[in-house]
Amino acid sequence: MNTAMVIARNTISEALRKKILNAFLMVGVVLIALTFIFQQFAPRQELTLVKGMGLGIISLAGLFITVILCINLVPTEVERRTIYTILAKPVRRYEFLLGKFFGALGTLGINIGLMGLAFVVAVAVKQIGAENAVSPLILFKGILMIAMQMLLLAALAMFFSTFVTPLVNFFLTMVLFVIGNLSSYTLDLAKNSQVAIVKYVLLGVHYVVPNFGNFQYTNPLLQPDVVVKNETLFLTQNCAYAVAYATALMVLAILVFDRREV
Amino acid sequence: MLREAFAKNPKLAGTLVPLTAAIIAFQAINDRDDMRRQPAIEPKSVKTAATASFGGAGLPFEYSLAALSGFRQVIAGLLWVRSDAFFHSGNYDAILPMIRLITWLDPNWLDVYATGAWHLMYNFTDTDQRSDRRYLPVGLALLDEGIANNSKVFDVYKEKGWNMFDKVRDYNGAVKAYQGALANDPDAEINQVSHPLAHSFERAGMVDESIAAWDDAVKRHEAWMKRPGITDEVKMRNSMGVKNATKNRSIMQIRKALRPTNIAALGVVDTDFHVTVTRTKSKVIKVEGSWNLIGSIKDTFDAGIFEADGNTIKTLGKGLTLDGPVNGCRVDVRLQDDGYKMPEFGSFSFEVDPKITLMQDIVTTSGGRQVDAGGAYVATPRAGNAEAVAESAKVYNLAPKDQAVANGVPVAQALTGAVPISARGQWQLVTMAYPKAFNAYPRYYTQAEIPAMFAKLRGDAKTVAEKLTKRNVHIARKGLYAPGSFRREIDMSKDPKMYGFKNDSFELILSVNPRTAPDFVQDRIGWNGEGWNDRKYLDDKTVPGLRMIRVRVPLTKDDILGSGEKVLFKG
Repeated sequence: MNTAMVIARNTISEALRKKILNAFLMVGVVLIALTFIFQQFAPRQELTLVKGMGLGIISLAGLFITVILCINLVPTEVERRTIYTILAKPVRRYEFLLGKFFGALGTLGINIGLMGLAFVVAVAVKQIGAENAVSPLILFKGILMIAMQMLLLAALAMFFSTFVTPLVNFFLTMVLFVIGNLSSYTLDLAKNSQVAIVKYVLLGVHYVVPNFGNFQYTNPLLQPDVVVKNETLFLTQNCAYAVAYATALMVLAILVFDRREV
Repeated sequence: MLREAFAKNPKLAGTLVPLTAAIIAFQAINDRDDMRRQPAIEPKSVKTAATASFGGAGLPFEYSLAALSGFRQVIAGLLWVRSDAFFHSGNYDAILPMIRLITWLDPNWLDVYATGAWHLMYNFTDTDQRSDRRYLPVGLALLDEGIANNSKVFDVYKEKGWNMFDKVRDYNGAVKAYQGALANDPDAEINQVSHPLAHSFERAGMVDESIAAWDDAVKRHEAWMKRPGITDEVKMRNSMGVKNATKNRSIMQIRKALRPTNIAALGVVDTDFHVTVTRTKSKVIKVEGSWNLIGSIKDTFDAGIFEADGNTIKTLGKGLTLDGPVNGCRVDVRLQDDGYKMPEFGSFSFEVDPKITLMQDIVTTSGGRQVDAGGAYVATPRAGNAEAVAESAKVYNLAPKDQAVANGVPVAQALTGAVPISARGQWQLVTMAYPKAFNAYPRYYTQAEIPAMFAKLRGDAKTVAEKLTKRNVHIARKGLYAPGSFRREIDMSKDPKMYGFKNDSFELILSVNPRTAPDFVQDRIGWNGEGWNDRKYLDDKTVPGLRMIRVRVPLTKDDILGSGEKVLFKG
């Protein structure tokens, strides 16, 4: 496992040197700061807008950082042939893959964490003097859900990266992200479908494609008057789901990568 | 490849079994409706948005995709920013579809329901700023949708209550909305819910319920103040709330005790309502008329003495001590398709039926005046409201035409005996010359005090000059009475989109509702019009227990659209 951690550390430092990822991070932070332009609204509406846009921007920036980072991690090493040097050393394939994955997670953690911090500070500043202000720290729940969503997305992209090209991977991951966000609609469509085959196909899609829609937790944070029935259960279940699904994807990735010719 | 991998790593591959089981289990738990549709996460209306945004409501595809891919609030926020821009440019039509989309995307955004209903119910107006009342049921449907999506918070109930109270003037409906807020949200803001509930009960003619509601509001404020950890600001707000609610409860109790006895003592007012409706040109009608609008003269209602806290009644006063013609009661004028009833919409839609014609306006009654022989009046070049000090002594302004009838003399001359000054006239002069302090009790000179005060006035040339002559106070030789009047020309020709006149028959309804009358009028005629009568137009059937003045004028399409001046109704 130490080997994987060394690879992870290198992956993080390499990723942070990539300008494109930093650009996304900068854009995210700048956009959060720009949410302060909504001066024409009543304070409550303004806060709703700032929080909604802020979480949306973190989510969007997180999406692009995750996909662009993870689709390239393994193929780049293969393309540059640096993988031969690595695998020639006492490094097992699964250690290499896990190292890359943990490195990607570390990079994502840093990026989402920084954007999240900037966002929470921005909201705290915005809330100074506001009546009935809710602690901005609760926004970390939303950021946690975004992080969990990205963890799952990273695992998905890593899995695909073991056997498809980055371009194909990009489209596959993005399409599954959209379908996964529509998971509750596929279930509704399946429930209402009269044709058996359609019903089972939709149910199959619903259960196989990761449910990214689960992680949308913006609304309770925007509207403090509205609360979920059991927040702890909801958040815990989502975290457990993300970890379980990501683990399964990484097991599959290891199995595939083990047999792949590089 | 996978089969080989599985065969080579059976242990690792075996972990997939429990992992898959866990994933399916989590997904299955999440699929339970009570988990999946927890209101804040995925309200049912989002599903409606999913269907409609691709199909009907016109949200561009990329917006729909983004909205359904986890960026709902971002899209809702962007649309709200855009709709604000439309609001500032006066493009209200463009706002409605946006409100529809935003409330689909984020059904918990309470401000959007409130602002949306306000746009619908207040901001669509004709050239003369009359609201397009076809939007009222639409606005109410939006608020109902907001309540359905946010049934556990008081905000949208409160908005509905206010719109029912202020715009629709359906006070029973307002009561129901405010009661909904109190029943569903234990944290409802008392000042915003319990107080208007009590006012709504009063306007609905439910006096005992109103007093009980004020009582309940006091208890709720007190309970709030005992909550642990409340801020000073909340404490202060509730403390003010206790004060206001207690005072209002006292006022209601006073009025409940005094109004019936005042009406019994002063008798029933014959309103003698007259109205003439004239078409001046196509789609322009003039409504004018007169009636006896009698109320409590300014500041002459004697409530009694309150305790030092200003709330508790110590001594019950006499109630209305001086009545006469007053200004300010509204005559509602409504022109609509014959038999129109406000529809109830099951769901919010931003379309209104263009075939419906519905115009509602308010005309204020003013200019009623009275002077008795030997009484005082102020001679003015133009008629208008008298100064407060004169008004509270029931001294009216009389313009030259009225002055000729009253045929009075300046007060200084009258005091030398040129014209006899009546007992009421003496009281009026003394009240104007030596006004009592605002906090004096009783507020007014009694008849027993008048002879001595009047004698003092006769010898006080300086006060006569400064307080009376300077104000041009005269004493009338002859009495004069003129009822209040109203007049309004209503032009519906400039807004053909709003006033289509598609039907063949219409009705013009003029009405005065005692429940919407100001307090100083209700002090004379009661909450339900018990103290007035009208030989021709009293209507006590439309709303049981309510004595309205109501005139219904049936009109044909030609009556309204024809050219040239024509008297459509006189009675």
